[in-house]
Amino acid sequence: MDKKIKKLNLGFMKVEHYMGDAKPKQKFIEIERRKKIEPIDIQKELLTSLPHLAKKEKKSFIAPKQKPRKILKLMKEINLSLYNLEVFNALLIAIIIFLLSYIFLIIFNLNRLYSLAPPFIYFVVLLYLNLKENKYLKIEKKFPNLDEKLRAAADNPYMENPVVNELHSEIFHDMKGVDYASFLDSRKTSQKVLVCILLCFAVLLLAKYDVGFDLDLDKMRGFIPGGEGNATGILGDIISAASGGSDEDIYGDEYLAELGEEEITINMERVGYEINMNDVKDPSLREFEQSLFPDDVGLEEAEVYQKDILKENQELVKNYFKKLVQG
Amino acid sequence: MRQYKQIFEEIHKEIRKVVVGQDEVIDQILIGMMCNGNVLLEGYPGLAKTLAVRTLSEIMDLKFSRIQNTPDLMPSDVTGTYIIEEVSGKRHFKFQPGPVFTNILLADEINRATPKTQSALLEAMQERQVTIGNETFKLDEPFFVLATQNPIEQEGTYPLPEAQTDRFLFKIKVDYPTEDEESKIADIYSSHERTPKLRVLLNKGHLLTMQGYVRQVPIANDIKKRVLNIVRLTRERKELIQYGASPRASIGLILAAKAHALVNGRNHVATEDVIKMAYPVLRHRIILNFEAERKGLTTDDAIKHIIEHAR
Repeated sequence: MDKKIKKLNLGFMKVEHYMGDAKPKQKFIEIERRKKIEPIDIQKELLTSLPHLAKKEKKSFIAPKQKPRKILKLMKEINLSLYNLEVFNALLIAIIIFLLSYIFLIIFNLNRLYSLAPPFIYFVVLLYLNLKENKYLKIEKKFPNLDEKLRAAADNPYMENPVVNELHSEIFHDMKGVDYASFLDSRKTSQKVLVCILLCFAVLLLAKYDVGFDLDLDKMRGFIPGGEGNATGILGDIISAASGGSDEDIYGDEYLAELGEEEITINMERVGYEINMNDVKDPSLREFEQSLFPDDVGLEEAEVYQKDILKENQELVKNYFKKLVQG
Repeated sequence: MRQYKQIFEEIHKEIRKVVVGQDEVIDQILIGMMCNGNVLLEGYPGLAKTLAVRTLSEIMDLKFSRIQNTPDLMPSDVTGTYIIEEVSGKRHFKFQPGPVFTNILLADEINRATPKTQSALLEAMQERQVTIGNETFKLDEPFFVLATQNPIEQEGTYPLPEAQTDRFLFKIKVDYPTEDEESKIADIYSSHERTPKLRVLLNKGHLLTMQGYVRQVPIANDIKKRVLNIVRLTRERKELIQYGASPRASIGLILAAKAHALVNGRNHVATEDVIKMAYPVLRHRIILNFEAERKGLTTDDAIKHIIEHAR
């Protein structure tokens, strides 16, 4: 009979135990092994342990009826509806901005096409911000009974278990009380529409009576620092001297600075264009000192070069002028 | 999930027959059980810690064992050991299971046991199994360790190592009762011998089913992100905290928030659940730095500061 050795290491001692094969493997350890406990239907169990609670629960419990996928449809609908409302609101404001800028351009006789830019920029920025916004948070703020439920359901749309199914059912139930019109402020919307109508009338009136100022932008630019117009007068000179452009432009072309055959160097200092009228004073008298003039400066007899002209011709010219005086 | 709220209200009603006050402590112990986690109770002697745990085990129809930890307690006293048994003239070894083979194990004054004995509980707490010699024994399910420790009389104690405290899901602070509660306690327990009959409200099956439901509770992404931010901030706020919480704390906090939601009859996690559960989950997982201790701050103050700053 084969014998198997069972070794046990107990830490403080080692034990070797011989066991025979013929006999069934002896179990020295009799411990209640873990039994697998089947999950139970808690509602059924409640009937036995807490019957009064189970009865109450039957009344208040909203049984899950909807399929889990329906929640995805609902979330999509929520997003779309709120998005449409936002777009509508943004459109109204964009129209107001357009009309205002159009009126401005009519009054100042400028190109009307410019009026499209501000509403377009506003609309694009607003749409971008709206896309980033959490729509569920907006609903939850307005309807506290949905607080954090919508986000929990929206973030776990594919989970399927009794807890999530119940959450979905509750959301479907609570969403019945959600009125999308509540997200549209009727007072503000009607005010916006009214403003639009008034602005339209204003445009029509301005167009009919041709109200407007001829605004010469070129002239305007001449008085604006940094403008590129043809500014005239001292102010213009100061502006052009003080503002942009390279040094070459200010000093002009090199050939203008040539004197005779010699090239001279002219240094020009930049000046400020701000004029303080308080600084203007009477011209001061100044006596030139002798030393200012070089010693070699003095008067000299001019020299006239005479050509050899015939006496007859000289007489002829002389007589001509005499007769001219007498005549 | 409203039925769960009612079940827990019933449990509270039953416990109130024996324990006066300590509603929050009992709530947190129940949440710990729902999460299948271990709980560390810290409080002064005579605050009904042991009584509350024993009463809970009776209401839940669970096996209950108690270990009074002392410095001379050996690991084999906890896990069990082989004994030589003589049957019809033949001697053989028989395993004698220790108190760890139960559903609820109350380890009283755990910080009085030696580190060797404390670590004997580690495997049981984490793996739900005990290895003796070459054999491994699975523990019965559900299995919870509810340990208590005394914040005073630190002489002759062995503070729990960080690795072991991390294995506790909650550290619950047991406070003194209010004046009214204390007066009620004095009236009840000084007048006559009390042996109130307790109803069995839940059994193992119920508890395991509920534990399953806890994990099914959905949580919104932004709330999950907030949980992670809270735990991450415990590691980043160096001006307050020397050592922060581990990722195990993130798991624990999400699970505890789910259980708290279920206990309160909600089928989704709310921010309120996270905030409420952050204190017992993080309390024992962070170590304040010297500067914070000098200012007289507690771990709860640090957690409050972190919750306020986590977005």
